[in-house]
Amino acid sequence: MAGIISLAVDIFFLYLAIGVLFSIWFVFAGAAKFDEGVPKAPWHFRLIILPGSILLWVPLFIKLLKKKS
Amino acid sequence: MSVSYTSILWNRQKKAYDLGILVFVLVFSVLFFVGHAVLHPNATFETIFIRNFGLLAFLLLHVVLIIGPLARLNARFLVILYNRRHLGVTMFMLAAVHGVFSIMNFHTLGDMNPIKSVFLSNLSYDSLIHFPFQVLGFLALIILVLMATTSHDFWLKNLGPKVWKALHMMVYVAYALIILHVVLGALQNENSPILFGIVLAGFLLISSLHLLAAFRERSIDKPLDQATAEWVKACQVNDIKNDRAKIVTVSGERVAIFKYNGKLSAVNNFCRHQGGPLGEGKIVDGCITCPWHGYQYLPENGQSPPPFTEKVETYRLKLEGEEVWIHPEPLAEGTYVKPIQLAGS
Repeated sequence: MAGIISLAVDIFFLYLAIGVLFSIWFVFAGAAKFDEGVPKAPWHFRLIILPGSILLWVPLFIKLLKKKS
Repeated sequence: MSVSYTSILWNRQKKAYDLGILVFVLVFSVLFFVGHAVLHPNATFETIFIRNFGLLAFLLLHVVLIIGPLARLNARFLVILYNRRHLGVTMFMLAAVHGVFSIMNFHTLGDMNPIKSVFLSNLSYDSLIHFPFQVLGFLALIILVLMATTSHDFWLKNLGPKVWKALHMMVYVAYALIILHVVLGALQNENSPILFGIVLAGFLLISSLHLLAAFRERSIDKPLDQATAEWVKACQVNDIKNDRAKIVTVSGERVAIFKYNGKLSAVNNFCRHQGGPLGEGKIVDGCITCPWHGYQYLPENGQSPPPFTEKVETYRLKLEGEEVWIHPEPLAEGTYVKPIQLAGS
């Protein structure tokens, strides 16, 4: 049981690590691709959406892929 | 928020609301520290600190959860419903302080990663009395993080209302986890029945208010119309207070009939921002104003004033004596309908 929990926590950390990398690109470039309100938003708006884009990078990534196709 | 996510409308009421939250947090903390130091002189600063923030977050979570049903039961509570988002984010920040300091205090001294330590330092998952209650608090905090970080309108727009709403309804899962976190944690440290009584009272308060509000809403959802009716009687003119609305259900949709400035207009009750009940709001500056976040619509066409782009469906009304009749077929979002002029206005 301890092994499974440890593995689950490692996967969670990996998910967050990818999320951090994704979010940096997302807040500066990706968000503007599907929301026309983003380019005109003030600088602190990017800080506000940063934590959410770390946690929700998978649905955002899927949405960006759909938009592209 | 404007269409380009620029902060606007930081009005006097919002400032007063936030100041009220801040004063409550500060006064509560001072009283808690003093009271705890007197009653438990051997308690360490860290213990008091962690308990204070945990209890504050727990209290505010109760307030967050009862605001909705309270405002549905009595319009006087709409004042605390307004800007609830700030209350929710404050509650999350207090819970985060509680969680982070608990992890720092109890899980950073060994060789193990602190997060792993939360899950692995106590493996009594099959015991009720010795259950690792901190895990429950941690999971609740993850839900609260998700909710707080997606509270901005950007997420509502880009996740879509259904996903966003489902995400934020998880507050009830978080509440259940926190109840278990508190009760199981207290079971290991406390013998007094007072704590359990208070937790139970909070749970009963939240449950009963939700049930009462749901019962009341059932009467609103009772449809007025027969499936084939062209016009259906909605209410009497005097049933609607000035600058307020009467909510009725036609064709399976809630409709808010507003009386304002000697006129009547009807729009769909569902605010396009976060699904707030427009009919529980009021007319401010000539606009229907949602009680949840202040989104506005013109009553005669259901459109938000420029530069906003939200629109709701409108409905045709007619007057027969003092009776207000409504056509159950909704018109397209933003369609102008000439308001009914009331006699003597």
